[in-house]
Amino acid sequence: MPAVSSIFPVSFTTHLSHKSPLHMGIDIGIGRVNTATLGSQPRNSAGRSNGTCRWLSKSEFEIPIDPRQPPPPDWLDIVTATLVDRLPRCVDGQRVVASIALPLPWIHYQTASPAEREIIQSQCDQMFGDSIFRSDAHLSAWPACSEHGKTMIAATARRSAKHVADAVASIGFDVHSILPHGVALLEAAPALTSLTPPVVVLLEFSGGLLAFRGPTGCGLCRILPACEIPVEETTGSEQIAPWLGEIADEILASENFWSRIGGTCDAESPLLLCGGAARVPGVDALLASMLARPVACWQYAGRTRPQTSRCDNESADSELAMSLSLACCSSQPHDRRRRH
Amino acid sequence: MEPAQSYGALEQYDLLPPSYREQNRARQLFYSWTTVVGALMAILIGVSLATWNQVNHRRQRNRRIASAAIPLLQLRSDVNAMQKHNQQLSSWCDAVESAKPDDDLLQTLAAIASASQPLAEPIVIDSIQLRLATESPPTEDEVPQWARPLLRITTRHRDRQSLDHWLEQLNQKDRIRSASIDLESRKSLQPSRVSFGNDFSVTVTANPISTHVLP
Repeated sequence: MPAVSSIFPVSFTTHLSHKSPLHMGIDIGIGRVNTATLGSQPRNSAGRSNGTCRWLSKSEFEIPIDPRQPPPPDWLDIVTATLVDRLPRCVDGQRVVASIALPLPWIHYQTASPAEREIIQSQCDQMFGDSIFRSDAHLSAWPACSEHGKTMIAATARRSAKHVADAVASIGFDVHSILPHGVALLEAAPALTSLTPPVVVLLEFSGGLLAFRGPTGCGLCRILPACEIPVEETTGSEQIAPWLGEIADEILASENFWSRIGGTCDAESPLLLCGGAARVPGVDALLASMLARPVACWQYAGRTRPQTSRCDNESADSELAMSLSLACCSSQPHDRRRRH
Repeated sequence: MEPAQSYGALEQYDLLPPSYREQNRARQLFYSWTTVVGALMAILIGVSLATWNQVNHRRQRNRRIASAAIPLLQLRSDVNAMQKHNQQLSSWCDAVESAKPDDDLLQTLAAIASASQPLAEPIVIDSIQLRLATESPPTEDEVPQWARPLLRITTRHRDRQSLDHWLEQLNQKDRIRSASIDLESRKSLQPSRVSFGNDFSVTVTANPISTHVLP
């Protein structure tokens, strides 16, 4: 049925509904997908004009891909098939606006000067054309620090972005955007965590991301190395300390580069830490000691949480940080020319 | 937790190719126009079907009326033909009739002769004045004297009884009507009048009947 339902991406009834739309963030990882839904609080009797955002629900499901193995050639098809199968359906009549984050290995980050844009485009076209995606690249670029300095370029295969968006839209969601990880985290951090960190670290065992806050929103982004040490459920922070040392070195090097290209990074402001690896107890303290700066774990600062059967401790928030940030970003007005 | 309104636009970070949104927009435009065209086509087809039905019904009705009217027309034409034929035949009959020679005069005389056949006493007829009805100018209201039919027979006879018998027989003829003795000549029946021997002359007036008016 996805072929038929993709003809009518959004059912007509949702356009006629008076309810405000729900906002969903879909964080696609390598072996798993996390989703979180934010919604507006219904107006109380006082008739407040602006509903507050509430965390309504969350879900996660696995993709049958092993993060430790080399990527299969039909990775894109497996991901889209799993999305269509497992994504939670929206209720008929309720419009859901979704923002998506692609798996980190699918996005290529690069800094360049603004004049090299075409060269980078052709290089990325060739790179993605030779990869398992076999398509040309779609680039998004933003100034890394100042308007006239380096440009930060994020590139992904056009085919992968389009297919994932089609898969999500075929279920009935309204695809808002596909965002790079650092952008979403930095944009949503003030609203969701009531912190405004100058730098955000997404720590994943299969490779994470580091993003600095620039004057125009997101600035520099850097990929962090993956963890070579085999990780289980009961791994403590001491076992992954070597890897954390590598991470810390990378963060410091990036800070140097950032200050060289003109960015400022306040050493007293906390570094926001989120991601699957941040759940390991003691990681934040270890990193803080390595970096000699405060490290804060990503925590949802709202009042309501979704009801779940098992009691999650609040360190599980860091795993859902990405999806919640995406959901928050999808509530922003995007394109002036959009007719929806 | 208020959703912050002061975020900058996220378009510059978006990794979703703009062709995706353009395709969606084009698809929606296509479907809206397809719906409009479909609705118009439905209206067009409905109207044309209705019109075709109407035309069909009208044709059928006309066909029915024509099939009912054709025998009637046939009959009418037959009647006209027969009437014309009859008219022609009657005109022929009239022509034939008018071509017949007029023998009223002879017939009247023959009637007189046949009435006079078996008589006890012979009656001598001195003169017969016979005038049949002739055509008179139509401007006059009354038929003039010279156009009226007249039969006057002057006879000499002896016996009154034979005269009456002869008169009776004359009256029986179809050609003669109201044969009677003229008033004037009744006086001659008086025995005191002088007459030729024992015979006395009587004038008999009658009304001869003719089939038509002589031209």
